[in-house]
Amino acid sequence: MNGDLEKEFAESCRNPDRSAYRDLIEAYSGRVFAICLGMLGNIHDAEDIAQQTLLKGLTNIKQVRDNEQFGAWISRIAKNLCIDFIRRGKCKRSILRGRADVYQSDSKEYPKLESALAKLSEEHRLALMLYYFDGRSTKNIAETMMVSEAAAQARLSRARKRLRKLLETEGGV
Amino acid sequence: MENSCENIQEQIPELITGTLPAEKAAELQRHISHCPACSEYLEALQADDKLLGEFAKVMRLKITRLENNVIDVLDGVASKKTVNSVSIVSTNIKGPFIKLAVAVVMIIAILSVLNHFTGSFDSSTIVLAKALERMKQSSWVYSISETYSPQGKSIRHVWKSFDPHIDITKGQDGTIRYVDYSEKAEYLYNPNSNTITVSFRTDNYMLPGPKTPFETISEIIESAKDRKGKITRQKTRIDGIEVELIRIVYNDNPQNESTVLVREVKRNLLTKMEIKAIRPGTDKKFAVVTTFEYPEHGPSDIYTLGVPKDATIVDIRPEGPANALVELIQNKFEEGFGDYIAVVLQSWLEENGVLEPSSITVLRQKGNLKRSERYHAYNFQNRKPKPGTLYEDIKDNWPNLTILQILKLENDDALERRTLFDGKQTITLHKSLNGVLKKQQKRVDIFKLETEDSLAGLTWTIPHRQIMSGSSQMKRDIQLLPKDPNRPGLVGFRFLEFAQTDDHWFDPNKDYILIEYVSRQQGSHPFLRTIVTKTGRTPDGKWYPKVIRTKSIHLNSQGKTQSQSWEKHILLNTSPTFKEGIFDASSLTE
Repeated sequence: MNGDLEKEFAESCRNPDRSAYRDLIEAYSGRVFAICLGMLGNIHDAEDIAQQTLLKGLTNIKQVRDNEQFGAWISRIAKNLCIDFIRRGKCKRSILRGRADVYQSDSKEYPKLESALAKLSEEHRLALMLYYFDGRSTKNIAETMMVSEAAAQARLSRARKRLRKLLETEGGV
Repeated sequence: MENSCENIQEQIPELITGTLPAEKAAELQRHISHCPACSEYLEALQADDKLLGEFAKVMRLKITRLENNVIDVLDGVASKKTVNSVSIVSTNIKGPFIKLAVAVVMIIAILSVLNHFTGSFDSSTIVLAKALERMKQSSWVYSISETYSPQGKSIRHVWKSFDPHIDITKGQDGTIRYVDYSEKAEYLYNPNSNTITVSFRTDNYMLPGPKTPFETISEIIESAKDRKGKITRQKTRIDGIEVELIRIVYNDNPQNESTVLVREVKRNLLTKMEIKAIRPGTDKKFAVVTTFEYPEHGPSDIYTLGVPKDATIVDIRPEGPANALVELIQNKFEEGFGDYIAVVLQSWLEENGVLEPSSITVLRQKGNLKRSERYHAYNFQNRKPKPGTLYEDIKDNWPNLTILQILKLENDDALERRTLFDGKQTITLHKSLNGVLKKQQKRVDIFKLETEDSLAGLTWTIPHRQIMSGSSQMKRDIQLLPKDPNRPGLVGFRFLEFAQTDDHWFDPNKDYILIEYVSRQQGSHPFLRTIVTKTGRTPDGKWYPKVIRTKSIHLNSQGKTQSQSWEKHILLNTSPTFKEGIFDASSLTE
């Protein structure tokens, strides 16, 4: 560990630079939200956990050595917080799961889509959300899901097919 | 053919994603152009793609909102965090901070608008001030704010009562937050899960007196006094009611920035506020139209706002025997030390035991007036740009310095941030490493929220703050820690949050000061431990921590453990003399 470098970085982090925070947040908020929505399948919870992730990530930024690793690092925080949330928030989660078949979204615009997304497997939903919220890039999916790019493409394709089936069952869009 | 179609359709998703090689894509397109079934499937997937794209755009609004929340919170509180304060990790920005964040955003927006004033204010100031006084006498204020931005329109309903202090917010998505501070309770309704979450909420860090969404108007008046501006007033009738339009004119950008206030003449109350502005630091335009009503009675509970009676109630307020200790510690914190000057010398603790200067914080309190200054003491060596630092002045005697020596060294070149509570508001100046100063004002006493900014916070921590932080959904678990033979005589409680536990150990024989704090993440090493290694007593017999040592162990992104240690040396004078005017807002230089 390069002690001086790390200390200096921590020193700078103690002194917040709004533009630096803003850049990092804007660069990774989509990915973080996608992970949370993908894993939790619920917009309200995703917002909660995404906020916590960004706050936790940025307030502990001194633990990252350089910005290139920030993406992987904050993705891991998001995943861990989602897992914790699922584990400790079983009640709430089970309410939603129990309701999955009669899921009614409060969104006027996309009730069928949200309902179909809620029924997708976590893996498929995560692939789709990462694609649409994180720069439409299969490379980003691969990075975040820690698989090869080919595997990420395959997951995305399977997710598209599965979603189509679900939307058909929902009465088409 | 059927088999071929199956194969083709298998690859159509990749065609949508655009990851097929050009040749393969062309081959697929050739087939599709002649095959109705495959063509239909392609169209359906294209429609899904469009739908998901639109969905992502709509969700982008939520993401932008949370980005702004996070930025505002970090701007407001991250600078108060030092390397050994982890409680901020779980700051619940949906709690009181969200209101701060919103208010701050608006105030910043308005102040930035006021920067462009070119004319001058006249007696309108007095008229507005009187209208505001009249508004504050109302039992309830109900406001509806419509915000228009390129992302669309959003609506927010806010009810406020001053006595008893009640804040209610209803958002566009049906979420309702009902906070009754006299009950120290918040009721949060989530329409998606049809649950009401009840949590602990206190306003003891807020300032006494009315707090309204239109305090921003007071801000306009206050700021306008100091700045060149032009205000025009015009009497007219709206729906047969006599009103006065108070228009603030910005000569250099009249198209994009303006403020119009509508005052109802007879009742002398503001009924409408329209703000057009550009978000500071961006070119994003937005407009906020707020209408005010003054009902005699407000919503008496969350159900009168349309929450179904069958909504599940989840009470996450802490309960059990630990509560008594929590309240005792909170009381100790609030009692504090009276008037004092304290200096906190913070060092990096090297493995060989050498203390390397990091920062120097000077804390001052007189009555309820408070001020803190943090200066760089780190050896930045060849860093560019190189921030000012006191390193050269203190390196030879570190950390054996006196308060007097430090006070003589105080200078703005080495300033990292300055915070002042003048009894009405907290003003913070941050200086970035490249020397840019930023100012923030908040209508709270931030010294009651941040452990690092007051000696009382460092000595006892602030349990109420921790209860209010964390997830808005999780039960606040606080347990009494069983007596520990390794910590003779100490008593403690444990906060449980997600997969994290925070243990606090206090010494009943020394005013219950916090002796040890351990924060652990599930199944891992302690990732932060703070221990008071030396205590001191004031001349009137109060205990305080003299040396606080912190060790942090964390995993880096490669999964390897790293550790860092810090030490704080606290110097204290409880019979201080203060320079005239040091707690006045006007003493802050920009």
